[in-house]
Amino acid sequence: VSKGGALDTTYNLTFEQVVSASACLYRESLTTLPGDITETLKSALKKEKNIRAKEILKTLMTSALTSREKGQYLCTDPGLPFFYLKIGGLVTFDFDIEEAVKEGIAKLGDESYPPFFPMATDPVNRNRSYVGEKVPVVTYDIIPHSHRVEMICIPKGSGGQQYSRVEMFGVVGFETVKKFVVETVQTASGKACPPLVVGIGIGGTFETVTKLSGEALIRDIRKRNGRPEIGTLELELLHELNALNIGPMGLGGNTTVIGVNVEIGGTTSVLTPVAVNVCCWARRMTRKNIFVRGHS
Amino acid sequence: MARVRRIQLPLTDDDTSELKVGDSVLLSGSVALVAGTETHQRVLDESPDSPIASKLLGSVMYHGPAYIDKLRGRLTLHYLGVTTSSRFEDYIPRIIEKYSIRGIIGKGGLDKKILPILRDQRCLYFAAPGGCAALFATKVRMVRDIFWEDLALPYRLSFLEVHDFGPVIVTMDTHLGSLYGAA
Repeated sequence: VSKGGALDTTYNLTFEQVVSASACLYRESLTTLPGDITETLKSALKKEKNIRAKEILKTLMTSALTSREKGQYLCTDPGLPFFYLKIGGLVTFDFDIEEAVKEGIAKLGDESYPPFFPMATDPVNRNRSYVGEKVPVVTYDIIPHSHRVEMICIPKGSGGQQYSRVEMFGVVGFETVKKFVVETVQTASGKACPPLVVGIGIGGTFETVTKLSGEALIRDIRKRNGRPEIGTLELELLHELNALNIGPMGLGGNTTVIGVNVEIGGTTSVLTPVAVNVCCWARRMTRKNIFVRGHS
Repeated sequence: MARVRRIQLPLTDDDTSELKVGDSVLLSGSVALVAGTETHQRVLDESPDSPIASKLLGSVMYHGPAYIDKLRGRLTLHYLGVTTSSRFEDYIPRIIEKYSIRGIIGKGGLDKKILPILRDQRCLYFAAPGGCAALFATKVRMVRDIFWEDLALPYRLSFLEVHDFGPVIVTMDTHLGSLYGAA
């Protein structure tokens, strides 16, 4: 039985709640940098030795502040709207959640001033709009026994996505995984707008390893994975990647990454799937609990 | 701390010769906003005696999408990004030569095979950091002109008057120097 919930109570989520939360989260994510990023940039600036890198980090921080103050977009690339919902198992709803999110984004796109650029692009005719076939991307998890709904919006820009990689390794150790991550970050170099946030999935299947890497991007970059050997792997990767001298915008320095998060999932006896999800310094993300009213 | 130099545009021969990789500068003056491959193609196809061609002559080209509209009868820029220059690599050498372009502001640099062209044409490459759309907009004093309104908004050719734009960093110079050498 859930905390605060009762078995004879129904929790009803409405279409309007999802429409409004989607628009609100996407809008905020485009203008406001999350606290874990701003805090980590601040401490990176203190540690950075390269004068040019320091100057770039200061410019990034000033711009993020300007965005917040003016309610202006951080980047001209609003990214593809990606939503992740954690829906309590006790919550009921009688509508298509994806349709509700789509309506929220379409409405936001039509009403925003100044407008953000429509990024949902048909891969065949390259026509662009705010929403499209399976865009916004909506994924869910059902949280057993819960009567809460949490919604996370993480719009990812094109630069990072272009350099993200997946490899279905056989049985390999962490050294191979690290080598793959290092190569990925080296290939991205300055083009993915470092200092990067790197989300890594290890395990699962071809389909789920990338989902794991996406979940890794969602975690606060100051927090380590609870499993000690994975937490250590994260710290080792942070250290190794920052020793590559790629630096902010690829122009040198020891701030190549500001976050390395790893999530793992069970896989098969012969595989080690690895997904490296590359994200620019502005890892935009907002989250919100939707209050769901209980009815006895 | 590195000295940040203030540079008035258009760039002179002295500027393009003196500025070297690693130098940080704040640029003031007119820049041509060119983003998108189609925009580059049109720039290349422009008749050499057209008004657009004369505006481009000797200018600094900026690889950045922007949102510009008319607010109370005045062209207004709301936000200004920077995009990856290598996307336009097929066009850039010919554009530099055709219009004697003296500088390119962009992100990620260009292939090193362009260095002799930068030297011969006395053209610099300045790197601007990505994700600073709000800050860059505050550096734009006015939008002088906008052309090719049939193109999607971010890809229209426009001419901006910027003040203390940057700091941007010289990452490819006219002495075959490049900060992208190792990559």
